[in-house]
Amino acid sequence: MKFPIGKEIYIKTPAFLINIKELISWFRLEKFNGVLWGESSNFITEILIYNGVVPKAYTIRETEILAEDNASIEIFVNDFIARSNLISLYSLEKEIVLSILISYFSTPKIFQEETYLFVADKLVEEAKKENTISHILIESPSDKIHFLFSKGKFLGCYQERDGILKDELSISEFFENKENLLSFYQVREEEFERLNIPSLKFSFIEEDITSWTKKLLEYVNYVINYYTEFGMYIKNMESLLKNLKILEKSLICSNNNFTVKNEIMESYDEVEKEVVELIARINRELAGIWGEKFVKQKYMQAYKKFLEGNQNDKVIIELLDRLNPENIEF
Amino acid sequence: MNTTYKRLSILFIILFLLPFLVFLGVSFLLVEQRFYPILYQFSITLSLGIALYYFLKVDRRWKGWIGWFFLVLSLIFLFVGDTIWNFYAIFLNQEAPFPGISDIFYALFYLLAFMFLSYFIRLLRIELNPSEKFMIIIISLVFLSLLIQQVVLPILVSNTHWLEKTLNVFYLLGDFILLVLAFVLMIQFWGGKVAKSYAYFILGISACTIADIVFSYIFGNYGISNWVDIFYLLSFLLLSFSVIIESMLYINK
Repeated sequence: MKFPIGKEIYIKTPAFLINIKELISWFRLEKFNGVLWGESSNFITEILIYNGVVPKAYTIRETEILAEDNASIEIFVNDFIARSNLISLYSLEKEIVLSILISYFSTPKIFQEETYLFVADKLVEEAKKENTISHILIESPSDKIHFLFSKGKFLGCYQERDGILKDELSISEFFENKENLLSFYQVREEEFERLNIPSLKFSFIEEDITSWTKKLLEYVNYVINYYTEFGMYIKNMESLLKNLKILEKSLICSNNNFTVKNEIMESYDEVEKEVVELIARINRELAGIWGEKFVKQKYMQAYKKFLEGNQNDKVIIELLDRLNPENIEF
Repeated sequence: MNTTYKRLSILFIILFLLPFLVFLGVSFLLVEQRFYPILYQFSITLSLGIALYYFLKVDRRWKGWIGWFFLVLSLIFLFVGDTIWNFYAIFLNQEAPFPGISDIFYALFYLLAFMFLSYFIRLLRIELNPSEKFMIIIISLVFLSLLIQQVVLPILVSNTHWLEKTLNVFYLLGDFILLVLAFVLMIQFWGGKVAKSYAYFILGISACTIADIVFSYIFGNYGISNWVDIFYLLSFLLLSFSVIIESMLYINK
């Protein structure tokens, strides 16, 4: 196992029982830390999740690495769609994930040196320095052992052979074997923020969330333009975004049209809920001026026309279900 | 906006009450007859000035701007018509002629006011439900038949000049059409702030209708000032106020 097995959330669950879109959204929303596993007949894909995003992923067969990062996620998603994998999810403490990450994204202080050249206790003492995140990696001919440290504390160690996270710090035994190689990674806490940690995408599944959000905005802008045709407009459209958790920071309004300013990382459900609220706010604002009856009438016309124009787009039809005039409160 | 609205309401009440009190003074022979048209002219000048001030601040990108521009233009024609009418009373101390030059501007007022309402009916692609249609048809028919029976027919059979007859009928039918169209729009916007503007417009045209009906009966004994003018003044102030109320909704701060 490239990553340690954490606290089990669910284990070996058939893919068809999991809603992957919702799961990804949940990672984002909860800023989840842990590992997602996809087990197929003869290989495992391990996806490390840090603060809801994916910085590293591996597909391995026993100890052989078959694919890494994007290629690995691609394998996971394809197997998921084919319903041919079993999904497990484990949570990890954030500190453990930080310590794992520095072994990939920081410059090592010691890299693959023979262990006998170093004193284990001194190294541990160095790793336990306050305000640092450290990672000791010992590579034996048959396995790799990781010792994880953060903020002056030992967090645990695991062997890639089984991935089980252990509390005891018995590092000295690995220093006796001359064949073992030592790598040591350490960064100060404030330096960690400056590390270039990537955010890998869950293939087209995540692209879908962004494109769906854009589709929803296309609809919002269509409704606004439809209203404007009748002389109905709002002076300060951007003020309607106030206090919307996601859209306030992700959208921008120019020329009475909303566009995505920042990448939307949150749950699709949440975005959809806020788009519904945005439309309700537009309608309420206009109803105050033009009367509820008239605005409702025009909203229904806009909704119908937009649907007619996108009749062949099943995604749009599904998306617009929640924005149905009957579901919008004025 | 609320404070401005209140202040303007009070100002417009004063603009109505001043000439009204002077008119009472004229009736009881306390003041000279000319004072009333002077105060009338003062009130309509000030109200039109305020209406123009607010309307010119409206964002012209707003699609409805052109519609309300028609109404402002119609108010200007009404103002010119009234000014010519008052000129006779103030400077020549005599009753204004009817039909006269003022009537050209009064006719233009109706034309522009009609353009204002039809512009919005077309722009908004108004859709009435069956009960609304029924209500509007019934009210219109009752009002129209009363108008024809009680006012239009007596005008047509009277021994007056054909131009006088035509103008009297034109004004009354003009009032009727404006009332119906404005009523259709007000029903559409019921509950919204825009409905208020149309409500003031309807009240203004209603006051004008009352004045026109009475005018058609009493012209000849009209004199320099007449109590009918109170309704014309009220009509002008209400129409100006509707422009102000609507403009305030679209002013870019």
